[in-house]
Amino acid sequence: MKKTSWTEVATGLQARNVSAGRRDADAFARDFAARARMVRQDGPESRQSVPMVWFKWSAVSVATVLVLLAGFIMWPSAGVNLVTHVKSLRVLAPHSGVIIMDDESGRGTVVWVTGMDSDGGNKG
Amino acid sequence: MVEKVSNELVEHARGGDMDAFLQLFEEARPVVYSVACRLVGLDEAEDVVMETYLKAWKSMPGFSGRSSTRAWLCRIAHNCAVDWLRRRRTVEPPAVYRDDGDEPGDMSSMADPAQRLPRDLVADRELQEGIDTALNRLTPEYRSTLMLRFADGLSYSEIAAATGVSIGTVMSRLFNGRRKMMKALNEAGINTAGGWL
Repeated sequence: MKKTSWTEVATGLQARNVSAGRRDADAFARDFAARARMVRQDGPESRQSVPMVWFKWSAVSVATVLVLLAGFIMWPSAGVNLVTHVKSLRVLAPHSGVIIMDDESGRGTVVWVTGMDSDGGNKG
Repeated sequence: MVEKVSNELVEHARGGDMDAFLQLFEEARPVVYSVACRLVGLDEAEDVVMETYLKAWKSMPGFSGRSSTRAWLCRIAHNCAVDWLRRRRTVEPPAVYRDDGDEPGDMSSMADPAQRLPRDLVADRELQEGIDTALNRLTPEYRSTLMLRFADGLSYSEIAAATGVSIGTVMSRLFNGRRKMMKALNEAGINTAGGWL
């Protein structure tokens, strides 16, 4: 009985080439052109690889800025100091006293002028 | 000269020249079509080919031209086919391998039947049917590797790109695939020569 060699099997496989079943070039080109017009080509820079170290440094920089910003906003005395430290106050109208109070809840300063003469300002 | 023309085509295609792109890659279309057939089947191969070419067109500005156009397209075709299969999620074997009782593969490249003895024709038919049966017994990896090599004539590097494995794996699959194929043929009643079993 005749034995089948690999060469014969390979020839049998070769007969199963499918590429002849593809569309003809013109039809494919027309279809491709119609679709490709709706596809935007990538920019040349999109393929350039950015070194990983730049990503890391960028991330560190952004994180640092965020932490500093958050600290500035959240720190209890920060920002309030500028408002509550009233160094001097001049009241033109006659008065008996001045009370300066820090209002932490409102993050502000209450200036209370006592014993004020409502007409005094016009006199002096 | 051919290389120079090719480089010019690459430059034009990278610049958005569609005609240059098609001129550059039309030569590779039979290979891409074969890859698509082996991976997703005949019915959907043309869709995968079109998707492959559109992706290649989109990525063209990044194509350096250093690698072979065929291998580059094979790699893209592999990715498109994998996406396609993922979307389809079916285990049905591709139509090219379906053993549904139809005539075996195209015999047009074989010797003229009129000049052969009836006994040879019967033997040929038995062999073709045996090959179909044996192919269906192989795993998809071995089957596609053997078909891409022996039916479609792809190089090792092109098969590697098309199947997403290393060249070493391709060589191993070809070696073992041939052994398995001959064994399956033997089991299908075809008396095969020794040395591969």
